[in-house]
Amino acid sequence: MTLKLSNVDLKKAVNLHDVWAGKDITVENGIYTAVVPKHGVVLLRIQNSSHLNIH
Amino acid sequence: MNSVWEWEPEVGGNLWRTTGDIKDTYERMSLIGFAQAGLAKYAGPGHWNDSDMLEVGNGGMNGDEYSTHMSLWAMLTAPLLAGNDLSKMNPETLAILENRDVIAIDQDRLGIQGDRLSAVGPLEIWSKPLSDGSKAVALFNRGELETR
Repeated sequence: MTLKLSNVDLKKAVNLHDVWAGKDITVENGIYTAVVPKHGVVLLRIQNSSHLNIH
Repeated sequence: MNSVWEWEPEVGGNLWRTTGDIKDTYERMSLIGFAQAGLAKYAGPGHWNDSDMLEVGNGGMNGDEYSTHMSLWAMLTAPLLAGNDLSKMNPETLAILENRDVIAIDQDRLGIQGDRLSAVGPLEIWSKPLSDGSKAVALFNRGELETR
């Protein structure tokens, strides 16, 4: 299952955190692909790089 | 009168059910949970949509399905009312109900309910803006096969 970061207005995202796995993820080219089990979910918390620059 | 979320804020309501009763099955949980798409505009600080209590730990769903349940309710900014016997939780149930990162998404002080961004077949992507400028994004697989 593929997520284009541009579709969630986070083109410059640099920090993805998989909430259930409890791990950070590196994303290249603005595209994240995950294996999602039947009836399952991948829950991400995504920080925008522009936000990180501000804070 | 049926769409209580459309008039309840005007009469001072703080919380209202937006669904029929939940059952401890993936079919019922997902039916009412995903049907909340489009209701985000009716929720916010002081006035919340309620998609019924959690069934996590009651035994009718597997771990992946309960994680979906908890995640979807968090994306919906729904009240997280444990509907299981708190004195008899196994470690898996406890891990789902006590996941602080998931609870933080639900309880984020911005108070904006998440909504569906896309649905392609059984695959849905939901997004919820958070107060620190980040976003919660959920990739749901409602299908009967693992995705690749």
